[in-house]
Amino acid sequence: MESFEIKFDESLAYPVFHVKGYYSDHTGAQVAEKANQLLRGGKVRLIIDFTECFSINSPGIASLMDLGLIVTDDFKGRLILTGLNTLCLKVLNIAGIIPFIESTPTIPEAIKQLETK
Amino acid sequence: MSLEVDVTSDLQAPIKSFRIFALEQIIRDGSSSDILNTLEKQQQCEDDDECKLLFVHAIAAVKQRLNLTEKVNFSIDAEAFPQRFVAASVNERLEILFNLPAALIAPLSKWAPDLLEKESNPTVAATIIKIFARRWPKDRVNDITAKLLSESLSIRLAVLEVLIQISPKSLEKFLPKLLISDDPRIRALAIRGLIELDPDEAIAHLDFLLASPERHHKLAAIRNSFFFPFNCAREPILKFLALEKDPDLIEKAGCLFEVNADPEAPFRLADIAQNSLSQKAVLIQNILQNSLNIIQKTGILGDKFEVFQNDFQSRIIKKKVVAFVQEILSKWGMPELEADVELNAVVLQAVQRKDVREAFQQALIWEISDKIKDKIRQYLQPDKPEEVPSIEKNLSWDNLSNEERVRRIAAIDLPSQAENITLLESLSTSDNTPGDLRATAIRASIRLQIRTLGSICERLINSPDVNLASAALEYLGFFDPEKLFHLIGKFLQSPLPRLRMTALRVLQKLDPAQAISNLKAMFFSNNQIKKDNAFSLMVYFDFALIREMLCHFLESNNENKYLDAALCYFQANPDFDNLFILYKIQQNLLGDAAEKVQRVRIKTIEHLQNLGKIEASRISLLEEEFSEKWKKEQEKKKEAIPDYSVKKLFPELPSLISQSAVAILNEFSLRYGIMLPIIFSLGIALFLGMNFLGEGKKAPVKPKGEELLPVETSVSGLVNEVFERGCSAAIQTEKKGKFLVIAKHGEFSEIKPGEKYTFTILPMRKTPDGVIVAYLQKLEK
Repeated sequence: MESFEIKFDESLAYPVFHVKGYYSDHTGAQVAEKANQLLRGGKVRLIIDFTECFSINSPGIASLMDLGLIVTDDFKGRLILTGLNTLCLKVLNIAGIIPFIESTPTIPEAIKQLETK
Repeated sequence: MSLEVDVTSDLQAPIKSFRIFALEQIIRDGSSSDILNTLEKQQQCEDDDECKLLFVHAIAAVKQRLNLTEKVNFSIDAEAFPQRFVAASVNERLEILFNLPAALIAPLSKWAPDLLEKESNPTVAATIIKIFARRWPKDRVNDITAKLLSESLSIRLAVLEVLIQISPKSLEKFLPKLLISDDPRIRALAIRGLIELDPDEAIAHLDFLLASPERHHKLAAIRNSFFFPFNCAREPILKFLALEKDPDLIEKAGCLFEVNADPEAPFRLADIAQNSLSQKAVLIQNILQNSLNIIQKTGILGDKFEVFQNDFQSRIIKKKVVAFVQEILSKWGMPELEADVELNAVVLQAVQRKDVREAFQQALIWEISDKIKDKIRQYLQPDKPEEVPSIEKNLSWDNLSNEERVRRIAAIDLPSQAENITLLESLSTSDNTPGDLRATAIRASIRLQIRTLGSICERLINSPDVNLASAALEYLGFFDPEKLFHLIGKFLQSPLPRLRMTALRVLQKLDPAQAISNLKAMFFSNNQIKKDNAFSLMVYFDFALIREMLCHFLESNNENKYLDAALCYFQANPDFDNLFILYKIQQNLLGDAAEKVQRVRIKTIEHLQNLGKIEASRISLLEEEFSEKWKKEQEKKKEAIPDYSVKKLFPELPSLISQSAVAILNEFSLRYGIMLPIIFSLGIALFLGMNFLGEGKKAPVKPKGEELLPVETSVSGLVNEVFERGCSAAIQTEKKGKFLVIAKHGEFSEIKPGEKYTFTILPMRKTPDGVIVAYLQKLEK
């Protein structure tokens, strides 16, 4: 299995997932599990930070799409992706994940966006 | 890329679903004044009612987010919701839905099917479906499914997106209609739904959509390929990369290999790069580099990445050497080149290299003629016999005869000395240089990457000296092929195989899809010379793109010479994906022919094992694996073809392979200005001398499916249905059964289902369910 690491940070205004390594279906499954707990607990505005993620593969893209649908459709929440490198940004655009899921360059910008919109 | 960039281009798209998609995104997230400006501008150009309504809501949503209008506050009482919703205006209903609190979605979902049934506005109906999709009452899924054939595109899109997630099986009976939708997003989504039901068919549909001439169709297919299991999308996307010319689409499709770690991808991408024009080659090289990066970064090869990378480099070099050897063997088959001084010198020089000698040595075990094998042995001998001339290296240039000069120039293969470059430039540019020496100098300049001869070669392609013209054409084809685009037809008409071959190589780079169509047409032509030509030209194509075609060809063309030539190509391009194709060919044959195929298969397995591409533990399982796969394929062939299959929905596609020679070549001749008979005669001389094809005996073959004699006949019957904008029609006759008649030029666009017509047709094939597939010759009321 490809290496990845997920760190979860609740110290900011909104929960942030820091993804390191390769975002595959395995990574997506772990993020989704924790995100579902948060959503059910009423935290419906989430941030996933990809600053240390070098790539998102096809199953990873599908799992992000699923998570986006759960957050926005089922919980009327917001999901923002941050720190995407050029490749990730490009591929998420081609697949139509962005703009379906919002993205900002940095976490502070995502927080600002979640507070203002 | 930002939301603004995407929506601006999608809002202007001619395809309605792209505009709907963009508007829905804006309603959901749009919040900038730039988007608002774009919307207000594009709203004026919109002429579709559904999109017009969406524009109104999109503008309202963005204004609200920009605080230009007051936010509407809703307090919704769950029990009073249905009454309030029904009584509200269209705009209010949308506002209610978009602002519904998450906590209310589950309790309100019980009302959703009834609200959907009563809803008359398509935009609101689509929104109801999307908002309540995941909480939709299980016993009312049929209420959504029934909307799949709604007149409203927004509704169809919403239903498809939802059913793919919650109930893909319920899509099955609707798929045949959805898969032939004119809208690429509907088709692409239907293909995504199909992958849950029948992955093989989904791949075939993805492949078909990628081959569409419409850019938006290709774009939709690329977008959806990221939601396919990677193993299902890789082959169609690789094929697409090999054939596509649009740089933006190439870049987008290539991303699939930049994010999915696949150790086989770099090899295929390298082949594609090698067969591409320089601009495309650069794009593919970038994709290749990124595919290597992702393999390294994911660590899927453990600590063996460096070994892999070295192996990759050496295999790429080896493949080039094998391609060189294949080309030489093909040239040795041409009578006019058999004793060519330059060709002999090139080979003599090349066999100095260990890797070239090894490749020739390897070729001795290919299924090639004894005559060619003898010639290889002559060049591999340490003391060459008299018929192989040697290169004079001791005499000074001035004391050499013209023939010896040709040999010496042909032998230059590295820019090791600056004087070589000066000499080649001087020989190539001087009109006093004898023609054969000048041609040799120009070809040597290609090898040495001397790029200064463009303008002189532009002049020389019109030279009456065909050898010189051929060299100039080769030069321009290598360094500046775009300049030849409008001239290619002329060179394809040349009586000389060498010139024609060069022209086809250029075409292969200029327009690979057209070149492959041309090759297909030649393969499945009823004319034996055309078939023979196809074999000799295959050397210039990426083998991965044509091996399936070769397999189909061998199913109905079982002469030994074709089998031997095909096996030679399989041996020259050893690849894991060859194995099952060889297995299938073998199953179709008996006796010696079957054994011959098996030998090649075994040799390929051994070769792949030596390369570390198959583990020893898997080899013993391969036979069983292929046997199972083959049995399944046979069983599937016996079953009725599903209504959603590509074959059934686009029947002209597979049968086109065998019968479209004229259609394809008509198009080809229009584009490149060549007369058909001339194309058909391409490379006759080349083939006649191609000894490695061997004798014309037939290999024993197992019984196969029913094909019909293409004899013109007349039938009268009722038109049941017209497909693909008048390109084909289902006909029911009283006595002769059902026909699927294909009209090459859309002649059926004016005919009406239910009316009787008389058709003059050329029958081609009877499908397993008894439908006769035929080509239209004449139509009468």
